Amino acid sequence: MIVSVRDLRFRYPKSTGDVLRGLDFDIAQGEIFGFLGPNGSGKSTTQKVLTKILPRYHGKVQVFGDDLARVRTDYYNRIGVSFEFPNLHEKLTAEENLEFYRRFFDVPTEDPAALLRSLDLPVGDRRRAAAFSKGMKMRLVLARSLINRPKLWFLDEPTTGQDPEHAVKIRELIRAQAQAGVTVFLTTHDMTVADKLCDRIALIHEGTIVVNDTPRNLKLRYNERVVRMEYRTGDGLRHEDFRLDDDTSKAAFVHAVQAKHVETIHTLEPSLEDVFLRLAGRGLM
Amino acid sequence: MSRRLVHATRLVMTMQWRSGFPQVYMGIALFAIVIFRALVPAEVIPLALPAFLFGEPGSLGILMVAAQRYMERGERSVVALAVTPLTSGEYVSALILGSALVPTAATAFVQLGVQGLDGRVVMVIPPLYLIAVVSGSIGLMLSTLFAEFTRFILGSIPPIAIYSLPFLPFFGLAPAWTFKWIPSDSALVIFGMLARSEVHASAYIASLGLLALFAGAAWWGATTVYAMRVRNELEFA
Repeated sequence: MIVSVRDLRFRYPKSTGDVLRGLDFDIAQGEIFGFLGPNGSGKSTTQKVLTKILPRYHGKVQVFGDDLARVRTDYYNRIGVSFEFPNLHEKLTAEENLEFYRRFFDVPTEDPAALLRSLDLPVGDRRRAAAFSKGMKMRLVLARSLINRPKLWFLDEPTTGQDPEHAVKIRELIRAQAQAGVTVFLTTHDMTVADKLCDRIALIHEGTIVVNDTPRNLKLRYNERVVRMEYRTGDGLRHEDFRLDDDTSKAAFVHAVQAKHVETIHTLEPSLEDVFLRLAGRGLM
Repeated sequence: MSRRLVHATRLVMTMQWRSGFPQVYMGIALFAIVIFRALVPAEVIPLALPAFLFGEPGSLGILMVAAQRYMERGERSVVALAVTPLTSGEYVSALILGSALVPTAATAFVQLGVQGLDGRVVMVIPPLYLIAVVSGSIGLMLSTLFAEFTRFILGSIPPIAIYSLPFLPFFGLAPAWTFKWIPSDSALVIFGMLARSEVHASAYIASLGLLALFAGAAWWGATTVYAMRVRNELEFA
């Protein structure tokens, strides 16, 4: 396991209760692990613990087989962290941001120009980062997090501020990194991103992991096996639901396929959002 | 000097250049040279020049380092640096030591412009650099303690007032020993000796040594305060 967390608890100094209340999870090498939950659920706090920004936690956390409490700053040679907000040196150009940053590491680093190109960012552009759009800034933050060729990559809302084209590009980049053996810890409340990318998902609510499984298993677990058919009649578009666990309903479905002018047929498996709503009783935003 | 410290210093100086800090220091230095040469009578220079030599890296140094910290805070760039192998001690050192270079050069240029090229230009550089380190450390501590610039301005008045107390003995308004515990006193003693061309090697070395001790203590204080307080900034970043 690349990450192993047991009974992780954390309380902010001036807080009255624990923000993290005994988290347990493991992440295998090359896995894209989605950490999902609403604002304030403890997602970002967990990421801050794992990136050693918050060192005073309780519980057992092992990363790369080492006790996180004992690792030193060379830990950062092996991880990459992309934040959910732009935190660049705004008076530097994109290349300068990467050039300065890469020199703080003790490991071989990526070519800044190649990284910029891979995320559709300008190479040789004399504009300072302050002049970039939010989407460009976020892609630069993402590029910077890969400069040291991390083995474990922390991503917090990686597609925030991106247009659909760049969101797809970022998802492809994440997938490519995972295929190359990089372990990804993805924090998000965007269920679509999680569904499309993650090998496994943990849903966190009020500091507790309520479920931890693959997106497919999660949806199947809460699936009611219902098919919705839309068909056209003289009165317009109508729809009817058929339960697949009920023989009468199944027979009615077969009959309807033959007798009606069918336009669409969809299974009504729940979305991850539905699963979360059922488990936590509230939405993700 | 570690490789990371050198790179962090380069980063600090590049950010300062892009923010126009060196240009401000050099502009003030040029203006000061013109004023000293055109308007200040020769008999006043032994009093006025040390005051300026202390003021540019001293008081202005506090403000400039603080300005850089507030800029970083606005950009949240310190959060990005916190997830690299760069330690907070290395970063604070880069910020303080790097920020001290430009005011030292600019103020030594004033010494050169006002009293000409002689040994005093070389002798003024070490105390200038050390007082710039002390001021940078104070500026860093204050800007780390106060989250907003307006609070910093108010909060920095008492330390700057204390910092300025050695002007009393310098202008003969208090006994010479009164404010030996304040770092600026040692700097003013040296600048005064140089401006009057009355350099006593033992007094120069003793004051420089004391200033070095103060600079070391101020750097340690800034590193400690920064390490403690920046953790809070990161928690809520």
